[in-house]
Amino acid sequence: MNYLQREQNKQRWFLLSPAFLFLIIGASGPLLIVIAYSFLKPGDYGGVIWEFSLNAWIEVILQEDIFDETLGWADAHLVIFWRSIKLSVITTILTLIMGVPLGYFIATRPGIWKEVSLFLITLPFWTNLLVRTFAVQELIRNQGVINSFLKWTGLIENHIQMMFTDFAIAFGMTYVYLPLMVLPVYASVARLDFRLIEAGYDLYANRAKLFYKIILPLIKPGIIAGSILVFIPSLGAYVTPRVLGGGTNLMIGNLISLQYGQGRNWPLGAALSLTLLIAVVIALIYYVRVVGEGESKKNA
Amino acid sequence: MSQDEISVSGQNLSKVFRSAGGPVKALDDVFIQIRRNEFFTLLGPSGCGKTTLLRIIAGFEYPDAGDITLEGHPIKDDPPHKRPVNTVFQNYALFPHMTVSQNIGFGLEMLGRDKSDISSTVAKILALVKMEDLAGRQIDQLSGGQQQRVALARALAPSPRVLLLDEPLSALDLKLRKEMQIELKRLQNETGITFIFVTHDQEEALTMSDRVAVMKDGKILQVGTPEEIYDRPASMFVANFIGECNFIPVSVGTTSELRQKTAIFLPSGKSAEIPSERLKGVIGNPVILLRPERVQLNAKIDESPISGVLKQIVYFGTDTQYHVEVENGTSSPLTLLVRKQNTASGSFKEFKEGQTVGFDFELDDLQIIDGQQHTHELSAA
Repeated sequence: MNYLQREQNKQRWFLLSPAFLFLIIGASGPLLIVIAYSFLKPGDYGGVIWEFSLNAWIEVILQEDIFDETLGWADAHLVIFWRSIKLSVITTILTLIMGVPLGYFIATRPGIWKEVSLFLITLPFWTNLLVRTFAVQELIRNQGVINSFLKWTGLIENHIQMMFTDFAIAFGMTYVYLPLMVLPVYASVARLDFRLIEAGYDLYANRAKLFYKIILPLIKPGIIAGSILVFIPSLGAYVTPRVLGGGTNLMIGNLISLQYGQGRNWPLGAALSLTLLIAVVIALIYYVRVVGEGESKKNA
Repeated sequence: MSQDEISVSGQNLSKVFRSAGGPVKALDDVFIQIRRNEFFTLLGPSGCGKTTLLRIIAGFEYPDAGDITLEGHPIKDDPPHKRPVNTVFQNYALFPHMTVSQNIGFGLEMLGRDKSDISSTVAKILALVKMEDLAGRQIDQLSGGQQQRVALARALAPSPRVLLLDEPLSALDLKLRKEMQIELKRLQNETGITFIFVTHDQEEALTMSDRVAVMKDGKILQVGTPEEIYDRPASMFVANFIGECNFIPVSVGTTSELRQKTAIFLPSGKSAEIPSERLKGVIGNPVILLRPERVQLNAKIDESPISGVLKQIVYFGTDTQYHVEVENGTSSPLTLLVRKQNTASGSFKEFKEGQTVGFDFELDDLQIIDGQQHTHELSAA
């Protein structure tokens, strides 16, 4: 490396340093604090006592019996973990079913219609999440739009209980996160070379085969990106399960918030947060492995 | 042409596209018959409707009017995947998520052939296009020429009745293009499949085709063998689009019924006699078409039917081009081109700029057409 290159390298690092500092302080800092807290003891009125303890991590999945002090599964936590994963997977599948055709449809509209559709898809983002969630509540509550309509038509006599159920949470999250699926799918369809579809059509592929053999593999990057964008916030969702699931149908996000509030167990909150983080990373690796199989074969 | 000799037949085909500048007639009442096992070329400038005709045969476009049959069966209402016709696309349109073999086997797979059948056919086709070594490659690991071969192989693998080629060589460099021209002709001979080839390159059309259809503004102007198209162009547009051509306005004199010859008067006032049948169909403005390489220059001005002043000599390597200015009685003299093949002895130096030269040519090399109805075509070209 000559003198000029060395100087250029120095300059490059100097110019990059604000970004690096920001990343280290902004991203790693809070994470390090959470990791540290998870290995401490809880204070009586919240906060932490600076004494090393593995209790928080044990409490994530196990609990001590109040009477005989034996350890058993923390059923309450496990139910919440299961519900979180189940609802996030359901939400991802529902947004896929609706988002892929929708993204395809928008990307193939001519001129102005494409822009209008995109605008309509992004419009909900301009509204507060809480407001949107209450709008969903207005639809599905016992005296809400859907129940009133069904009663009016005479299809049902008594209202259907939809609020405060897992259905309500999945319904709300699907509504809230649908744009996060539509936009990446739209982007990958927009990049799609439609001459390839013509070529497939020419080579005796019918509509169904065109979709599975040509369109789907080519828009897979968009589908993967969309699934990740929907699954991750679903798993950590707080507002939607809080409003639509009520006090009984908690998800991990609500459980964590409880530990920092009424639970007064910050180390457990920290350990739960990290558990969520680990779960997301594992799920992502698995998902990309499975769905991206063709891609990795291609590069092999 | 008997019915079972015909591969693709189109009758009264019309297609209008709506565009921002108003409706565009892509095909205007086109009648076409393509023989079996023929290398047929649709030749014309961009926007002449040749690609539209190809896409109608493939099934990607639906004609506004007219009918189309394949070996006697009407196919107008069949979608592309129901027609035994395959296309080699201009940009190849290879599937990027599949290997070379998977691309080539795709058509057979869609036809529901079993695996062993597919792999043996793919192997055979790979050998045919000399790509055996690259069977497992991904598409983005191939050069342009290799992609071209894969596109050909993919379209040939299902053994279509007709292969459509949409300017497949236009993206290749000159040397590769020449190679592929020969390769295409060989493939057509070996497979016996009817090839319909679209190009705007007149040389490609002449070197490969059994027959050529010259198109312009949605119409077919002339169909014939390359020799017919080159030696006996039916219009000034065809003559000008294919190769270089001199146009000399003449007037027709008296006809001798006995000898079946007619006198024509050249711009110089000199006259020549040509067989009367050559003047058939010429009514308004007779124009002589004369290819530059069919003319010999000489110094015997008095004996030549045409003479003029040699204005410019351009050396081309294989031949030399002479620009000769001929007086035609108007203020703007006619510039005629003459081409002469070069020899090592430097015969191109035989004549000098500024010299007056005479033209020598065989009467057989003359083509006389009616210039009146075609003048607008020439100016548009």
